[in-house]
Amino acid sequence: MKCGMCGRRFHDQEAIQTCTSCPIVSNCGLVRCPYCGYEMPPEPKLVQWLKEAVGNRRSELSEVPAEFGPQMSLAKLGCGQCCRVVGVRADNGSGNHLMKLMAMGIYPGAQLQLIRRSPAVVYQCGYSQFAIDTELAECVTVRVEPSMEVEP
Amino acid sequence: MATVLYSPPLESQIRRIAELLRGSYSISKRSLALLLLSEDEEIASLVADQEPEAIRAIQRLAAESRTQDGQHIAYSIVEAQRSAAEQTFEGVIRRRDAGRMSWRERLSRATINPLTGIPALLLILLGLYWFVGVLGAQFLVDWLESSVFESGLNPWVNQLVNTAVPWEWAQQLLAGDYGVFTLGIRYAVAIILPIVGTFFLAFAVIEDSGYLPRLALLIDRLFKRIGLNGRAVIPMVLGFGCDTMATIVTRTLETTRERVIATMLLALAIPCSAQLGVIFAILAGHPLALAVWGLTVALVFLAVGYLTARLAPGEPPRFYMELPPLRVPRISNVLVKTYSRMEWYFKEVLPLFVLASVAIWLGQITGAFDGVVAALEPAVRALGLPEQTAVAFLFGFFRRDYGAAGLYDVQGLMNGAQLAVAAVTLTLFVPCIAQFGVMLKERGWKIAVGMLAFIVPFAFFIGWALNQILGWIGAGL
Repeated sequence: MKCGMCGRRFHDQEAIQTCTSCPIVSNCGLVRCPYCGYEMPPEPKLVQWLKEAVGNRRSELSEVPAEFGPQMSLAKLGCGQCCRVVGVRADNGSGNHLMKLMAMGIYPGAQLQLIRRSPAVVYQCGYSQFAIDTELAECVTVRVEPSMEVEP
Repeated sequence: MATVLYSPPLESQIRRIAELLRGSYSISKRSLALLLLSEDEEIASLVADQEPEAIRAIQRLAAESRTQDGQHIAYSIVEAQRSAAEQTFEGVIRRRDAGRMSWRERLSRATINPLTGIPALLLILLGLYWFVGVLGAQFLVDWLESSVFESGLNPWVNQLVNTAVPWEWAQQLLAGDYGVFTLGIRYAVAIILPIVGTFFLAFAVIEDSGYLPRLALLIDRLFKRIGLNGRAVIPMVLGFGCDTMATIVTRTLETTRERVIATMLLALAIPCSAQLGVIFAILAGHPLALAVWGLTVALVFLAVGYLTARLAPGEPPRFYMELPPLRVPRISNVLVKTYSRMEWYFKEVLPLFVLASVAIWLGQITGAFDGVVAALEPAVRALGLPEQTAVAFLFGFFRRDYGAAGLYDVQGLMNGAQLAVAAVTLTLFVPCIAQFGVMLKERGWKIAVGMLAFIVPFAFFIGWALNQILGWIGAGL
């Protein structure tokens, strides 16, 4: 989540670590920013769900500069981010979907741009847009790339 | 014709495989070799049928090349093809300036975002209701029924038949209450034609705009719960036009399991446009009854889908689809599509309507008709409906819309709650003869008969339960 005071983003796990110095044992119901110490209520489930529904939630790793090129599954990529496909894994033993994904532009070395993550993963490949469900997107490993020059 | 050139080792592989192929095929040896290298199952079995020795040697070669290359050979083929395609269009197309998003793209993204997409879907459904349910099923049907047939053609035909045909049995066959012309043709032209016509027109517009794949994407998660995936939305939506046509379209679904579930739901809970139009017309004066009908049918759809998905074993469905750009439909295209669908429908429906009229006439002459109606009456009474509706249920055996149209004739006898119960039962009740025929052909007799054996008692059970619940609440609607 994002700190209301300093604006930096942090994980819930990091916030829990800063709680160890606090005399109140537990259940204060607040989250403490690990950077500035500002305390605020946690992000409600509803807000998280809404962010997911709007589909604009950036990937957890999207704060990492693009040069690092972290590898992740296509389903975890942030909206608007570009990537290059590193590998495709078969799921549930049926190799059939590898061919389908290939026909839809997903094969090692292909360049994609993510458009939405919810309710299904939508990506741009060349001049076409495709939709696949989250389960299929989980099988695709990608490397984050600096954004492409073209918007459709 | 331009040929895509692959890397030298791949090219030599293609040549070696092409040389091994001796049979006669409709496509070139080179394409066959490429497809075999990509491990296309269909082509492999085709070649295996013609030359079983060659296929073994070819598969050995393909396996060798894969181990040398380290990665799936199909990938390098696709990559070469893509880069060749890119080079081809590099010279001939011009890119729009980047940065600004076009209105098409904005609209497209709005339709796949649940927050804006669901309201947009509701808006489209509302528009569809106005066009098909109000303009088609009420305005046009009223006009054709009352001005054209009842005050114009029917009396004229009755008189003509009475003076020209001397025998009473023949008079009854051609005209009168259940005559071929006065019932069969009237139902087909005055009630069914305007409804089906307006639906197919609206469906063609939606289809050509490219909205259906976006709807499939939006509804995918819900459909996964009932054992289908978003792709099944196309036969389902088409089912609102004609379930017979939609049952044929279930072929586009991948697994047998999905096809069975989709066929079941189409037969049970998806009313066809003619039925839908007549139901809208009947329930138009009772908005609460319309809501009860819609809610009950939707609940049955989801519950039965959920249970069928639990009962039918199989792999989880996967969703994948291309999203074509949104386009303004071309009028000529829409009209041609609507016309060809209506022609198909009419060829299907008119003979059956005439046949049904003849069957009812035969039943009346021999007294069998009264017997069946009498047998249905206790069932109808159990639903809390007037006895006259038994005729509508009997008609329902011949065609879904025929039954609903029969209900249209006796609507004055019922209150809102009774109309809701009758509409729900008729919606769930047996698929029409044509749909059942397609079910037999597509799914086999075991599954088709099994579905029918489930649907008939189940429809009456739901009708009975709804009647009990409404009576218990005391809702008159």
